Amino acid sequence: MKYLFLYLRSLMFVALLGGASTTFADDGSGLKTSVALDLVGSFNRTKLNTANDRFDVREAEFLLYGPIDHLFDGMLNVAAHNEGGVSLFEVHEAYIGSSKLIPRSRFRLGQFFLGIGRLNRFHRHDWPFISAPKEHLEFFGAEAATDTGGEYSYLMPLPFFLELTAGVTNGWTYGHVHNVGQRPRVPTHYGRATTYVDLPANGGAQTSLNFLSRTSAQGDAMTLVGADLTAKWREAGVLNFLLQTEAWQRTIKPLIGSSERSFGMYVFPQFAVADQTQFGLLMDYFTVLTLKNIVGAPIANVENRLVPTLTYKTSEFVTLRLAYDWSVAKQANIADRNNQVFQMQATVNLGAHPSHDF
Amino acid sequence: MTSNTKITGFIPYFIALLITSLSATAFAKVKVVTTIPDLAWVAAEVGGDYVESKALLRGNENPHFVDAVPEFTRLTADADVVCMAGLDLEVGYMPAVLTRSGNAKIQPGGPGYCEAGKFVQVLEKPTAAVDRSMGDVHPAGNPHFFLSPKALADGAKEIAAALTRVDPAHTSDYKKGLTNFAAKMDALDKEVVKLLNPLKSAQDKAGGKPLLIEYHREFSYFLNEYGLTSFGSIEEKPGVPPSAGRLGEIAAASKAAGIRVALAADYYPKKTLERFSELSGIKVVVVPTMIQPSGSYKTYAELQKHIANSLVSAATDRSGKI
Repeated sequence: MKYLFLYLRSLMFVALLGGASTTFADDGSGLKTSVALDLVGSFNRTKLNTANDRFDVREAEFLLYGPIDHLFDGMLNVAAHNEGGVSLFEVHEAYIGSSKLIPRSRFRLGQFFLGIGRLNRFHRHDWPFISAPKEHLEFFGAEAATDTGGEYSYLMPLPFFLELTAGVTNGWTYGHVHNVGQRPRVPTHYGRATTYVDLPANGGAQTSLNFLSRTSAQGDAMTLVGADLTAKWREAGVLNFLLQTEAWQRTIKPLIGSSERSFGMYVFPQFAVADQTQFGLLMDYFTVLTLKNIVGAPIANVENRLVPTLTYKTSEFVTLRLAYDWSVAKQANIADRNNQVFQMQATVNLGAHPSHDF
Repeated sequence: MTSNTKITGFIPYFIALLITSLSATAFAKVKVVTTIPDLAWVAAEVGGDYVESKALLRGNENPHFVDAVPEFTRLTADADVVCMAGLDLEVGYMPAVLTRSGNAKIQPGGPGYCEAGKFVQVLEKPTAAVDRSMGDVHPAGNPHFFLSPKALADGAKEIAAALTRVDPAHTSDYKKGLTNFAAKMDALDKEVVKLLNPLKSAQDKAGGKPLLIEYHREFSYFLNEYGLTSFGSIEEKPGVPPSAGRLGEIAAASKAAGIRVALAADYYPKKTLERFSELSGIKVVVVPTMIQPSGSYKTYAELQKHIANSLVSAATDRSGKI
């Protein structure tokens, strides 16, 4: 009964959004609407049962954005996820921002995906592969760390691209959670420095250094440091080669007891096999650096993952993917855990033309 | 030395610094950033010594599919004017670039925001509602006006207007630059007409039947200006690569219609064009559609003449006839 009520409420919400967008889209306000659907099928090939063995709507996302007045822009992004068999809509992002008030600057206030790293800044349906790498899952959540606060970016007046971003958010919760959380001892705060270089043959590479920290209500101080790199070679509208990689280390210092440190990184090279078809290989590595046994001796542990991924784009609005997700978790004195999952994905974009981000 | 003497000792330096700053301000050039290189050239022609222009694209990209590269953001952050072709050609990347630049002047509605397509007589503007099932149809009409010297001269009006908005002190100079530019385009137009005369005559002899086909309808303004007609496009729907079936059909239809040349931009798939040529026996002419400052066709006149000469050469048979 509770789910039925929530489901009906979600439907009503969507109907209102749809109505609003139809009513206001052409009234000169500049409001734009966009809908993204992310359909994913995961099928177990081993007995670990990590996949749900069906084709499902992973996400249905409504995006409304446009200028609010001569200075501010606004954005509302609501997405439905399948939770407990019911697709419930929730606010992913809702913020106002401006790039017109302070020279070389832009800022946003509200709820948003924290502007750090590579994957965390993009909606999951825009990723070049289907599922989150292990370290992203552990450090940011299945899609992205989202919170409410403020974020400011400044483009340095230099002869090369260098943008500095800093943000502070409530920090009552961290990651993607569905509870109010508790007032933290130190709110979530983060920073990012990004640079970009042109590469020969129509290529370009963006590199960033990232930092995030928060101390929870219980006194657990979490610090994340990481770097990300994205390099692309595009020719005549075709992405000939993409290299995307991120490396992160997380340290959690509890109020009492010893610290926990984890490290993870992924590398994703992808090349075009035809104008509309790309083949990529996600290589993922994760380890808990401070894992110890009861007498305090270090325990070697590692989780590796290889995901060959075939992508076909009928246009910039439709992406079809097939992937074979193979992972193995190794830990001293414990049998290896092999896991193999076959995955398929279809993402579609309806409505306003999305910008082609680097 | 008293404190007064100390202060008066700095006066000459202060005056020199003031004069330097004032002269730097007085002679500071208007920074114009454009999307395509052709518009950067137009800005330089219209603005002369008062303008410093730079293009974001190199001229070899498919202007429909460009990423919002961070370097674009850096360049637009310092710009006084940002000029685009408009008509939705850059809709895929420029909104993000402008927003991230943090430059209020060049945002839509700002004095430095410029869409050159504003004053162009737009071709192929859809008369009915469009949607994506029709392919990548531009709702505002065909945005490839910059391949026609006369349409480019129309586009230059908005560039001159933007320069005047941000630098009203040189209004008369920009007006003069615009007049000279229009005259230059007229002269170029006459030269290209002469170059294309053999093809135009052959088309007239054939009763106005088209002798060429395009891969994508981006030569419409060029052909329209020189009185040439197009059989259509190899693409069935704009922006959608032709299927094997479509390629077979259009190759057969083109051959039957006596088409002599297929015209394509240099960023379209070579294999598809080669396959079309194999199936139809029609020569394919691949040309740049924008100036390429670091390529073979560095000036607008060179580019226009290259397209005209390539067309005539490809349409001419071994006996020298079209």
